[in-house]
Amino acid sequence: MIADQQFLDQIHEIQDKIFRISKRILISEEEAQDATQEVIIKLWNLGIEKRNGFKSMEAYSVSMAKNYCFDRLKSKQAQSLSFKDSIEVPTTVSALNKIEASDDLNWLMHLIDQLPEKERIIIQLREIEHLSFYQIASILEIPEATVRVYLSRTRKKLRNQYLKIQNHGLQ
Amino acid sequence: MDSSKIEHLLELYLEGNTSLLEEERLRLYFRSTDKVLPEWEAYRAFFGYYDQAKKENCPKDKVKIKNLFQPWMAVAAIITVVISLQVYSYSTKLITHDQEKAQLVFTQFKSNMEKVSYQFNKGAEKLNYLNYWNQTTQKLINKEK
Repeated sequence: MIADQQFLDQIHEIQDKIFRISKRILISEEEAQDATQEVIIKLWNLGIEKRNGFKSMEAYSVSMAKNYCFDRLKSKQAQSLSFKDSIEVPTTVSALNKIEASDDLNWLMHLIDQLPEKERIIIQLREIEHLSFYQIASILEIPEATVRVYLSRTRKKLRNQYLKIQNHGLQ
Repeated sequence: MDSSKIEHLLELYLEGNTSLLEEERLRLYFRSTDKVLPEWEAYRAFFGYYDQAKKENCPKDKVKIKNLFQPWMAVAAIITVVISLQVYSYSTKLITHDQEKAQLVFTQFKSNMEKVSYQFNKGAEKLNYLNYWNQTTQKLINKEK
């Protein structure tokens, strides 16, 4: 029972983070909930000794979530169930403009959500979860320098798209 | 913080060369100012969105409901039903067995008591003769008076 309570406390801290990251990759609230659930069950099934053996349970569960979500994306694409059809991500500037009118923050969310999944997760981990380059590198299993390159590219891309749409809107 | 410092940080930021601390400084700057240079408007918008996005929480109730429903629980439920059914049928068997036994004992007891009562009544009939004795003595008593 004490172990259960300890687990619940640990989960309570990282559950939201796992959910946000999963949602960023899967772009579906429902699927992100399933993913969060899946990660929690996997963590539980590891047993208390293994869990306590981790240097950082948070980093471990985030990479667990990342792997699960990327697998989900792959299997979706394999099933030829078009990802973009099911989630209605606006791909054109005109579609984005319509969203801009409705909600400023929503519009930025869609701008990020239409990035390739690698760029999406880097933005999520750095800009929203504030993880260090070292942590991001170990979660994504790529060198730190590559993380910086990806991040720089994505930041510039987002800024350029923002400016492009702003200018487009003014015409 | 003066804008030349911010400008420098933003350059580093775009190149992916800011530390977490420097990024926190940028966030603080854009959080605290309503009006920024027009060319920085994009940063203000994104930092604003990132702040907002960090607050998003996993819907707790739904997770809990799903948490309660795990495959092993279905197995446990089936086992529980099977065990309770067997315990029930076994106990009803026990009850009928006990009842039969009790019935048998009761009939035996009843027939024994019938025998006892027959013999007792037979004995009691003999006691009627005592009435004659009573009547005769009564007559004697009446004559004396």
